[in-house]
Order: sequence, then structure tokens, then C-alpha cells
Amino acid sequence: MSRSGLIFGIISMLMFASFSSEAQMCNNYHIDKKGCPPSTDNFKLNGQSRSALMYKGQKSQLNVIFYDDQDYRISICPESILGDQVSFKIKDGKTQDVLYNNQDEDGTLIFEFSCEQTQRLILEIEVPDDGEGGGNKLSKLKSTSSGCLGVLIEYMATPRTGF
Amino acid sequence: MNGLRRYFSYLVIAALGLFLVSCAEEGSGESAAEEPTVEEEVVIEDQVHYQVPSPSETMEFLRSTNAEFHPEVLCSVDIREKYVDLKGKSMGMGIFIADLAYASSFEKYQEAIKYFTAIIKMADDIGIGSSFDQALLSRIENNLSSPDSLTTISDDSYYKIIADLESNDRGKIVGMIAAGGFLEGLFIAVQLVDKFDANDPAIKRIAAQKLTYENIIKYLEQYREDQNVEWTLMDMKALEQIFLEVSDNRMDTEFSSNKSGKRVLGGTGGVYITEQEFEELRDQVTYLRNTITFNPPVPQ
Repeated sequence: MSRSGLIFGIISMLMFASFSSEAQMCNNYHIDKKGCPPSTDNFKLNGQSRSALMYKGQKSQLNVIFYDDQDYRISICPESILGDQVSFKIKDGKTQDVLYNNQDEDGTLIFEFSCEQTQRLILEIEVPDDGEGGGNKLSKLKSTSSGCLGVLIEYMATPRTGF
Repeated sequence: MNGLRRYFSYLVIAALGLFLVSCAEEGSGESAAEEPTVEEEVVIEDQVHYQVPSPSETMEFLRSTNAEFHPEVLCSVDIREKYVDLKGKSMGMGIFIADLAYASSFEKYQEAIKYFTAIIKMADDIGIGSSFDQALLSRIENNLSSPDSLTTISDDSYYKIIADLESNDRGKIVGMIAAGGFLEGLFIAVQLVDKFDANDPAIKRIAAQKLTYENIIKYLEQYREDQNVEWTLMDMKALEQIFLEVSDNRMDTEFSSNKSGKRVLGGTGGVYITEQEFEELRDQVTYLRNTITFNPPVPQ
């Protein structure tokens, strides 16, 4: 191996060790009550919630099952470094049709609904690229281009109404 | 030149040190030998994740249908010692987690304690015993008389195990635990059906497990280069044909608003199971679950 190859290998290894550790630190971000405040209603944490390290310009999809007769609350919680313009779409898992786009509603990051029919939905989250995150792989590893993002899903039985 | 050589030496030592620390943090036991996959490492690429509902969601649903508690459907905790490989231990843990969720949902404290204890031992077997810290164990001891707390602790334990495993790049163990939990949850659900009625909410929920099953298979397939995961997939594939026969004609899925302004997710069609398919599913799930848990068939 050439000396330059050795240097690149070592630097990559060191950067990956640091990046991997940062990624692991994000795993509980959705249950961090400061970063991702839960509902004060009767909702309970749903096991399909997830957090990850994301970089600016990255898109991630969660394939989630929603059961009928349940109410759900979905909160998207980006770390401040990722900005407040995170795009959040809900797609039909069968047809890929977009059923909801938060950009149509001022970019709100909380979405509540009653589920009348069991569905597999795709939650698609995209962190906007402000120009710092794109480019080659190494630039994406810069700490100023990445941060934790939590997807908190809460649920409860749909309250019965009427007599 | 000597300075540059010394600089390289320090870098190599630092890199090796980081590598060793990383290995040491991955825990002890059989799973400590597991290596992170390339797919797990590439967190900077666009990704698709397949999520699996926790067993407690199904158990709470069963509780809400006024079903009765049947302790005979639970798995014996004594089977723990029979599991020798990572696949068996992981699926066994998922089975115990589903049984714990069932006992907790029906407020059966003594049963719940039994499964908590078994899960803690199984976590040690897998090398994730640290998921159960003293604070969690104290919570269990102090809240056994409160049904809400017991369910919450049961859920918290599950989420902590999953988060700890994902933190340590052991997603394949998560997949095998989820498969075991799914299988036990489905086994309990089909055992509680006395008479088939296509409009029964419990039957509808069982039919909907087709979607959850597909997510589990997708999840496991990400790690199928691992032999334990491949064996788990082979087990789970025993249900594939039956779930393929369960019809899924969901259409026109959309969000609308009801009279009170609440958003509602609905559509036409749905996931339906016929009586014959249900009987086949019950037979196959029972056979598979009893094979994995070394149990004799449950009397019908």
C-alpha cells in the first residue's frame, strides 16, 4: 500500500469510528423528552418509533403498520442543526401515492389522525440541503451537516363517541 | 522523516486502540462475536426501514375485545435452557416478551414476574444483560400492584432492549426477537378465537397480521447473510403461502376530516381472511410455535 493510501485509510477509519459513535448516540433521540416532547394526552409510545443520524440532503423512509380503531400521533423531531424546514410526507405503502405533505401545511412536524382501516404507510422524511451537506462523502461527515432526528409515534384506542 | 514515521505509528496505534474499544463495548457472550454489516454502517445514504409493531399492541387489543386470560397458551419459561444458538435464544426472548405483554395486559402479576425474570436471564444469555439496570429492576419490584405501571414497564423493557441492540449494530438480533414476538402474539390471538366470524374485530386484526408479517420478512432479509437470520427466515417462510392467500384489496386510501375536524385515515376494501384460511393459519402457526418452543400441541 502506498503511503498516501495508508494515510487515507487511517483517516477514514478514525472518521468512521467517530461518525459511528455519533450515529449510535441518536438511537434514543425520539424518547428524549426535551428533543421530542410526547403528547400530554392519553397517547402511549409506539414501538415503531425510531431515531437516526441524518445529514442535510438525506432522505429516509420508515415503513410503518397502523392498525384500525387506533388514534396515532406522529412527531418529527430534528436536532436544531438540521434546521426547521424538514419535509415530511406520508405515502400509501401499496401505491406509493402521497397522502399527506407537511409542506402543504406550513411545514408542521406533528400529525394526528384516527385510523379506520389497517394500513402500511411510508413516512418519508427529507432534511433540506442548504449547500453544506451535498457533495462528496467526506463533506457529509462534517458535524455541521448532520444531526439526530427522531420519529416519535404514539397511539391510543380511538375514543368512543356518542351514547 | 523519522518524525513522519513516528507520526504514522501514533496514528496506527490510535486507530487500533479505537477498534479495540469499539469491540469491547459490544458486550460479552455469543453476540460479541457478531460483526457490524456494511449496510448498517452506511448511515449516510438514503434508507428504507421496515418497522414492526411491538407485541403489546396486539395484546392490548385482545384485552379490549373482552377476551379472557388463558394461562395454558403461555410458553413455559423452562425452555430457556434448551436454546443453544443465537437464533433460538433471540426468538425465545421475543416469545417471552409477547407472553409478558399478554400477562401484563390482563393484569396477571405473578405470571408477569415469571416472564420478567426469564427475559432478564435470556438477555444475559444473549449478552445484553446490561439493558436491565438496577433502576428498571427497582421499578418492577415497586410497581407490581399497578396494572398501568406494569404495562408501561413491560413496554419500556422492550424498547430498551431494542434501542440497546440497535445502538450496538445488532439489528439482526432485533429482527429475530421481533419474529419470535410476532409468532407468539399471533399464536395467542388465534388460540383465543372460539368461533370464526369474518366481522369479528379479532379476526380482522389477525388478517391484518399479513402486513406485519411482510414487514418482518423485509426486515430479516436485510441481514440474511447471517446464518441465524437465514434459519429464522426459513422458519417464518412456513407462513408465507397462507399469508399470500389472505386477500389484500385495499384501495382509495386517503385522509379525510370528520365532523369534528379530526383527520381520519380510511379507504375501501381491506385485508380479509376466509374461515378456511384462518384454520390453515391457526394450524400452521400452532405447529411452528410449538416446534420452536419444544411444546406439545395445545389441546383444541
